[in-house]
Amino acid sequence: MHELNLVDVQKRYKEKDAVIGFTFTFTNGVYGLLGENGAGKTTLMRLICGILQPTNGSITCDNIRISDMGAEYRQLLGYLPQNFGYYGDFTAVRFLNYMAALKALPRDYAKGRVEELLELVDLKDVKNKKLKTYSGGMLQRIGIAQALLNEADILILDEPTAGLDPKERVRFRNIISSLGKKRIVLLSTHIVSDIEYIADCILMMKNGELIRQGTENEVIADVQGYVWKCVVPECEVQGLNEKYVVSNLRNSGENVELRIVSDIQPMKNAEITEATLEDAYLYYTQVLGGKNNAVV
Amino acid sequence: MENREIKELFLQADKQIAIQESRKQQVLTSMTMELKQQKIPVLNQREILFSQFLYMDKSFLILHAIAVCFCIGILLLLQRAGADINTMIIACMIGVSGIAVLTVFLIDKLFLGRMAELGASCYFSTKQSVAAYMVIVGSINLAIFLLIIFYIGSSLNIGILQLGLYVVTAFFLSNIVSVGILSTEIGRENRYFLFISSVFLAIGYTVFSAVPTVFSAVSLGAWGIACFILGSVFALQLKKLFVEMIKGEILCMN
Repeated sequence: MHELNLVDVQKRYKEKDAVIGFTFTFTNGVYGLLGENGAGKTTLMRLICGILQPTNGSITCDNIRISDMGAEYRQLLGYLPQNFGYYGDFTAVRFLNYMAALKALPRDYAKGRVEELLELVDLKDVKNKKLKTYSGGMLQRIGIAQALLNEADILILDEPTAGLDPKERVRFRNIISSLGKKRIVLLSTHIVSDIEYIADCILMMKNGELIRQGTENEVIADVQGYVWKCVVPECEVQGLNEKYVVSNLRNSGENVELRIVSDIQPMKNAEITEATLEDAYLYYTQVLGGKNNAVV
Repeated sequence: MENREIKELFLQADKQIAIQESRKQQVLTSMTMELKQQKIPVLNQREILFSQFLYMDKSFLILHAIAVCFCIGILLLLQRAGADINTMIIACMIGVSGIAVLTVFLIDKLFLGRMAELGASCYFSTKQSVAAYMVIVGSINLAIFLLIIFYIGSSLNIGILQLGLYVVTAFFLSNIVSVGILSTEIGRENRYFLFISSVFLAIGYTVFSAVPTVFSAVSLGAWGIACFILGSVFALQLKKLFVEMIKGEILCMN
């Protein structure tokens, strides 16, 4: 079991701090990284992979700086970038074999592993087709397969379920969940349901900072009492939408049922309702530190 | 109680536990098996390069080979057609420049394109791939340049070192221009700038050759200084490129 330790990690680009004072220790398990676009998730993942160097702070694996470990650390890694590059003229088999070569896997081992993974990601029937003919979801599955090639101890997946259909999402959730038993799995997303059921720990980022961490129950417990349900006439929706964070909106005849995340009662007939992780996410990213309307 | 006494107590206690040799071996064997299963063997660098070459996109390498053959063919044609020494020198410089630009394009396309970020997380990282292929393709280029220099130099009675100086200067200049272009955001978005730059370089060399005594022995000192300066700038540029690759931002540009 490895211990990945981030202490006060900061990454500053020319004009902007992408990650600020990030301190956290990862051990085996699935970690869900939640945050809006531009919250610093991708930069954090690149830092953990050693692709980017932190401006300040340290990232250590088993108490050794990852920059000092070099190839030894990369051997432990499986990484799926948000927009992973590929050669369009490559077939799935050739691409995975090429990646296996970069991961220094022996050819005999790679051959068997490639077949195993193509089966796992359900692409065996199209393994000899060129990647440029693949759909977005198929490419994402190939991306996941390449990340799993070396049976990595640290698996970093940047939006792994983007482009997958609901059936594939469920399938991958299960795969990722099982992988987390023996390794560190960090996956980022802004789709809350992707990690709701599988993450042992949820990390929420906003403007480069880690604003909340904890189990699903802990995070949800914070917002119990801040989620309201009310039924309003359609003409009032616009006004409430502008004033509060509306997490759901459902038409029921002439009226509209709203789900509002707010620390004050939005209107007299509003009733407190059970909070979900999505509500917690909206509370931390929208309600705290200024309201930006969000209808999910 | 002293440490020595505690140690003795432990030794006595251990003696009372009967250890079955067969069980001990069994545990050792299963532990070794478990460790073997956990640790996937890793290829050495030569094997990685071979495997990488086996699966990589070879169309750019074919393009490189075609360019080299084309360059040699043109030089041979010019020689057969009885071109004068100045024309041959200029043709050598243009040919070498073209190959240098193509080499930079090839390495950029193969390793610093959209796969750079993914490659950077692998055991054999993007930085290592770039370095390895710079050495491999650079060695091939060097062999070709030497062949051109020796053949043209001996057949036209030009000093080998003199022709070498012109060719190497042109090589450094082309590399500086092409690496410079790819270091900028506009250059990376518009890679055809590389080919435009090589056309301009070719025109520049042709215009430059019109200067009297430019290829005479008297101007060799100036060529030597220019070659040294351009070589130093190119070395600094490469150093900067690798420093930026270690920082990583350049790998995430695409």
